[in-house]
Amino acid sequence: MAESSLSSLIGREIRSWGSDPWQLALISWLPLVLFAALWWIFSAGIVTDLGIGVVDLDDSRLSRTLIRQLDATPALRIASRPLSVHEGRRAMSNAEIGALIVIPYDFQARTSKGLKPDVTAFYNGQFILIGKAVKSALFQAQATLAGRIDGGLALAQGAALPQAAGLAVPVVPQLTPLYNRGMDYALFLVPAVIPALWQVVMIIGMLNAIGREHREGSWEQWLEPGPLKAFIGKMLPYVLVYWVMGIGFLLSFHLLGWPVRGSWALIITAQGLTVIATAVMAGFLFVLVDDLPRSLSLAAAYTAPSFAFLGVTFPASDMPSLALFWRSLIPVCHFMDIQISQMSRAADFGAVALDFGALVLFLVVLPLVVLRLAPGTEDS
Amino acid sequence: MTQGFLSLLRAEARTIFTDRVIMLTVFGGVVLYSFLYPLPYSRQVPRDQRIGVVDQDNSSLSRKMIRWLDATPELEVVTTLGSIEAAEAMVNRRELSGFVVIRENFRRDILLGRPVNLAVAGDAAFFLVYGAVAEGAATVGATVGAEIKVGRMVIGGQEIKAASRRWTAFGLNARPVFNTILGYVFYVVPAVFVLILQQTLLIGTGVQGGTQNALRRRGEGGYWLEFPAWQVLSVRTMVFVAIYSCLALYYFGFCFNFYQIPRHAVIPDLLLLTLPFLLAVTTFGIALGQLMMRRDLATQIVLLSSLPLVFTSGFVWPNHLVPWPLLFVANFVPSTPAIQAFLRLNQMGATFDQIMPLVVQLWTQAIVYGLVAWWLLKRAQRAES
Repeated sequence: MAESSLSSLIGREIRSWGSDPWQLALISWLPLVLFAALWWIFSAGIVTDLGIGVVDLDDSRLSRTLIRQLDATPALRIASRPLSVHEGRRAMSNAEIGALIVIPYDFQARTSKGLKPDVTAFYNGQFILIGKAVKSALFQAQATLAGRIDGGLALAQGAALPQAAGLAVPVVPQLTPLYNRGMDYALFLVPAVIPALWQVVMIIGMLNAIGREHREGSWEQWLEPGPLKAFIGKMLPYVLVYWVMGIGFLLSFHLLGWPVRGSWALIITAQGLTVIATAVMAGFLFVLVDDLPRSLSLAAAYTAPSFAFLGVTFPASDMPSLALFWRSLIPVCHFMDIQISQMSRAADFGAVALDFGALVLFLVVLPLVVLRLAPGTEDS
Repeated sequence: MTQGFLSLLRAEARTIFTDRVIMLTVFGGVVLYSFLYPLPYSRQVPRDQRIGVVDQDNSSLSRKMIRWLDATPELEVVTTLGSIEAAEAMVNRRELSGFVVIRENFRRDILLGRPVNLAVAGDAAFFLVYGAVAEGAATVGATVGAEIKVGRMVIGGQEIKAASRRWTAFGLNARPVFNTILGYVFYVVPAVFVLILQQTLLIGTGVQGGTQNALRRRGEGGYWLEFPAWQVLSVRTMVFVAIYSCLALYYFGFCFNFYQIPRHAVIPDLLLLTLPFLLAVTTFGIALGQLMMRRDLATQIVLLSSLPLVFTSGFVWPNHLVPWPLLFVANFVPSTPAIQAFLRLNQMGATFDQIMPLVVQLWTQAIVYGLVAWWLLKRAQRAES
């Protein structure tokens, strides 16, 4: 029967897109717009001009030099000069400033006496990522200025020897951020956020495809060629479209200057396996409840928090085992491990073989899906 | 009048509480997420990052330093390696989070007061991991410095000039405030919970609207077409706001307590913020629901919007760096001002008058979306009659 061949099933699915603009959007422009928007959010890459406040209790030549130095640091900008620590803290509570610097009384005098006074910086720990950027910019500014003030000057000006003798030899850590030399936030977050959204888009598109047969009363007609064939025929167009979409975002990472240092073939293979695993899971979520709206609720529970489980912002190695278990059930988490191993670095296959294995393992769910789709087991 | 009101309330509550999708999302979703979202972050900060040490100095001091590195909460020294290449290969395979190189003559140079560097490399594909490696190594660097004072050299007759060259004129004492332990649960949960309340509420109202639209298009009527639009709108808003007041209490009360998240707001202030937030989201959701022609669309749209909304709400990435057209769009959604308002009021100790502009934005949204929802409900009724 020509009617039931795989290619006619595929043709049937593709023809359905013509009368369903929402589904067409989900496999074409909508994800691309969302991907672009996510990149655009972080396109600045590094934190610049973050407003800070300075309370200058010393008001000396040296304190003013320090303030100029802070303002000249690309990451920072003096946004306010509160008159008191209390006032500065109030501004911080309302996120008007990201940090409050307090230059102590006698800052200049104590510096020239070699007493090494401390400048205090309160930074907003509630916004961790931003806070850490502020903190490292502050240390950079301090190192630059403190280095410029000649240490010998203090001794020459008559600082007592015992004080100098009490000073520590600073051991300066010379830091190398591997794989992201510029500490670029776009490179850090965008290649993780986009696959997380890709996972969400895929599962929605695939559930819609199955749900349409319910809505349009064509369920029996769809399954006529047999549940396995019908399921594969339905999913194949989506597998191909979303796979191409995956290759597309990988290529755009390359064009954005985030090269793949390892193997393209490994990442692209992993994408194919991720899409197939997602198709199987979409089938599973659907047959679990036999209803599109409810299967979408399950998909929401399943994929909406996937970014948290990716292990990019918070490392997987520090997650408790229950979180790791949940993580292992989400295809894109395995893909992320593979992408990281091949994008930022060129690890060998052995380092991610388990992730490949896990992606293939999702196929064990397929027989369950097919069994539930088989005529006679439909209970509604 | 009261009779009509009560029967409308009953009808409205019945459609909501008997809809399995709404129940699954509103109650199931909110409760499930309250466990699932904080789960990966439950250890708050990354600890014991596995590092290697390339010890080219092989002195009593370098061996002591390896022990100190291991003793920091951030780091765990799992291996010593012969070469930098070997260490890099292990980081490539993610067997190590980073490595420290103690160069040849490290101890001798330190005793001579010569400039010494401690070479540290960390896996910056993960900023938190890299930060932990850098932090741990800096602590040990400072410890070594404190241990071996310039004094020894001065007393021992070494050159003072060389010693003083590495002397810092002033120090910097940087301290995090609000989230003083820089904990990830404290960082993510207070913001994401606001978003979860919004998203599940939008799905609930959106699914209801989509369902009734689909019924109407099939020619089936219902109470929502019979009662005046303003009554349907107010009763629906009341029911959803009542449900979500309980869920908000569960999140900001029980869950914050359970996860020991610091709270700065007094209860009346928190309620005065929660009310316009829930009103804005509910009216926004009812308006959106009127635009959904199918029961399943609301979930899909809401699900796709979550990640963009998180990243434009200003707690991950500073708002002044987000391109203005994106911020402009995001500010139409209640979660954008609400996340900032809740964080400032409850996590950062802002006063209510400080967050007033955000509260006004939420009230404005509630009123505007309320009017839009009313107009759309009326339009649907007109299309019917």
